[in-house]
Amino acid sequence: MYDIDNKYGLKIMKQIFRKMHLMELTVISTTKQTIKAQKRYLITAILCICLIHIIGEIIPSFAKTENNGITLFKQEKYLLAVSTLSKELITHPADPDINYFMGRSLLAINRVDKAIIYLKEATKLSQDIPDYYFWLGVGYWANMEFENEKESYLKALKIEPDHLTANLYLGHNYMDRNKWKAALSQYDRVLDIDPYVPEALYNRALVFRYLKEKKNEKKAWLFYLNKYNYGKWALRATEALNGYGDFSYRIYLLGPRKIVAPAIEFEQGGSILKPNSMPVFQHLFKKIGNNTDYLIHVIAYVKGNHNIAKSRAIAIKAQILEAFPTIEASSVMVSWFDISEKIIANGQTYYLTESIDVISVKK
Amino acid sequence: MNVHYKITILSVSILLVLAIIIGQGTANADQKKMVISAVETARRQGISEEIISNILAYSLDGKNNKSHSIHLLSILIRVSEAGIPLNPFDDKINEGFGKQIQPEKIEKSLNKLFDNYVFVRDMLDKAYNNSWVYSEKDILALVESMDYGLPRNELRLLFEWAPAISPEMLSTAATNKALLRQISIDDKLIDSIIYTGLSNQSLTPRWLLFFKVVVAAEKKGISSTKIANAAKDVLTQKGDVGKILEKLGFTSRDVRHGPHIDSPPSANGHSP
Repeated sequence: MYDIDNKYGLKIMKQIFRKMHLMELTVISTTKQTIKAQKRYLITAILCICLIHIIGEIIPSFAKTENNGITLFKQEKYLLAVSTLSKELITHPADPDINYFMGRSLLAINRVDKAIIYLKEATKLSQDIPDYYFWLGVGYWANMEFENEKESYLKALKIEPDHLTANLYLGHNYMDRNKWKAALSQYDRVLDIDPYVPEALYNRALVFRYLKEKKNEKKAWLFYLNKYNYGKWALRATEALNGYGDFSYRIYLLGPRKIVAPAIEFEQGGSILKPNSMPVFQHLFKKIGNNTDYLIHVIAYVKGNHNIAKSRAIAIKAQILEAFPTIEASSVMVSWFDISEKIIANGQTYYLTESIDVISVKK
Repeated sequence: MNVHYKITILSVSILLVLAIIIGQGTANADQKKMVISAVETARRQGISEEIISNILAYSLDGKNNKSHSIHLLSILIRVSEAGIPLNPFDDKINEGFGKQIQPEKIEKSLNKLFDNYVFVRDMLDKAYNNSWVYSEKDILALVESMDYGLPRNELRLLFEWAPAISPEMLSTAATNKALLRQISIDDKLIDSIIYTGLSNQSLTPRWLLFFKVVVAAEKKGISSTKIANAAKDVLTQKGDVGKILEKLGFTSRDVRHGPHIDSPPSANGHSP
């Protein structure tokens, strides 16, 4: 890296001397011109020195980043990072960062026992960096040393009480050991710092389940689904919620996918969709909206009112066609019933007096 | 009793005491000679001065008499003559000295280690017949599984999997079997897990941590049958031992990036 620096430096110096020489030749004629030229010469020289300095700073750092182990780690080239960092450790054995990234790289490729050695070393070399302790904790977890894992997170939190990930994984550690109250307080702490951490929101609901606090559990599932209504966890949260007879979120079968969305609702006694149900269609059909291979079935249930059930089914069809102009009218089938919808959830049968179900199948 | 008779008895007694003293001195001298000879042989066999001086120092402390030193040295000489690395034996001696264990017990455990080592080495030679290169680590792991209580006949049964599986996997299987038995897992369950691991060739060294998973899961109230089923599923899919935790409803950790803070939970996230 210094070679590159010197090469550039020499080039620039040669240019400066050439310029200075030319200047010298031109400034001899008059004294006024000489003073002006001297000024110019001085300014140019200062500028060039600054330039050399900047290049000297930039070029080595470019050279450094190209083959640097830490950069390779950041590029997720873990194997390469391990081999590069091990070379760097020969010359810098007491560099905490190199030890830390060596540990992280080894952990990423599942060489856990070795990873722990380097992460531990990093914490010894620099005792005030919470991330070092946090990742040592993760290493311990991978090595199934759960007590050591906990201790490491606690050390990270001693340095930085608001360390989000250490708080979160400490909660996980408590949860895995059935320490529900401790886990709950950790997750609450996490959500105080950042109210959108999905793992904390989800696990909080689970903790309430283990504590048999049904009301709080339901609230926590709803809270989770209000923020994250997609993915595997959303499905589980909806199943849990439906299992308690709460159908404010439902799982819709659309082609090969199970999609979670809030229940479609109408204004009392009519066929006008509630404003919060409008975006549901966008959410439901965004994946298959432009795919003409699917048939959409809309089923409306209104116990004891055939007409409202019918008008609601038709209103939804209109809503779908308006939202997705590429869907043909013939692809949306409607049916309506003046009875309650029967749903079996968690082994129990529930009857919904007013509801909408949407199913989509391949033509 | 006359004076003459008294003098005779006294003389005989003095002679007897002298004889005992001289005899003991000769015996001591003989033992000393034997120690010197054992030390010389040990040195010739390449046993390090550190080990030799450890043994001699222990005898000087009075915790170990000369005959024990000779016995310990002769075991080490035998180990060295058999071409077996001395480190594990040296470790055992140091451990025994450190814990103030009786020299007879140290000798017994060294002899057992020697026998088990030779047994395992012979089995590996026979089973692999140069088809795999096995390491010292593999031998020691197998010997250790015997230390944990795995009998020879069961180890022989495991060797029937060779040479299809690597010595490393074989030693992982043996250690797992011994450790799982120590934490009282049913033999049939252990065998079914080991069988799945060996037939799928998925019993990597990371599975040495499996017993820790079992301990953690049992503490959580999960039945051993459920644990075994999860383990078999993971082994069939050639997964890492950590996957069992996920299958059993433990929380997971992202060992590469850390928790997902700004994104929705991943598919690999926590399973309720």
